[in-house]
Amino acid sequence: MSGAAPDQFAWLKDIWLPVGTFILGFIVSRLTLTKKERKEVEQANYDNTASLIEQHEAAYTDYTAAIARYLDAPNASPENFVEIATTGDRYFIRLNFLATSILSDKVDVAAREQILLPKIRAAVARSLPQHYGTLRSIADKHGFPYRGELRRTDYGAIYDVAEKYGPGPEWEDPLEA
Amino acid sequence: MREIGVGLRIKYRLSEVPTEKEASEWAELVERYKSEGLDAEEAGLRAADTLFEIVPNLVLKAEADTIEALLEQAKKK
Repeated sequence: MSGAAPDQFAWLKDIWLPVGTFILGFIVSRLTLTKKERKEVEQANYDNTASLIEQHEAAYTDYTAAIARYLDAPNASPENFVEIATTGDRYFIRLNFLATSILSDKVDVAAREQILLPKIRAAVARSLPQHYGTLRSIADKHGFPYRGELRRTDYGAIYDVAEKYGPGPEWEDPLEA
Repeated sequence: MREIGVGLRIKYRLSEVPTEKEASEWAELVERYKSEGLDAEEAGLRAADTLFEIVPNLVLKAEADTIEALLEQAKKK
């Protein structure tokens, strides 16, 4: 037992300096982006944001189309109901993914403030609870089996972003938005 | 010019758009509070709080508005 441990870890003594220097150098290089690198990061964030918004809008179109089909249908069928549930779920999952990108600073700052945060705040305050409330009430009325409920854990990033960035401006004019 | 009800809803974050009649009730109440010594802003807010339901975190945005309207209709069907 005695002496075994020091021998066993002796090699650590030889490598800690180069490894430590490497890690330190890496950290310093990460903390000090050149102007060119900063521009590249900003551009990547912008491109990322544009593609996130595009995908989010596709999910939004599918979701509203599904509700509209349900409204147009002469009788409320279980298929219509399931369609609202799944497209709505996909819409909010998209939004949740978008929120994870905000949390990891992978979005354009201006677009975050002007476009993304209002969507997320509106989802927390209105559309998420309404989605589940509506599904529940349709299911009850037409006898569809449905046990879905709004759980924060399903959309963790959405709620984390809403808490991190707060409730936003005191009021927002829809005509200026 | 924007309709007064919509303007009130935005200004005070009301849960519903007040009707024209409700809006004029609001205006009367504002005048009364003003005659009691409140300034215009305070009187307006107090009157809105008395007559309508205020939702502090209401966000009026096109996307959420559309979803809200559709879900509301679906609920009624």
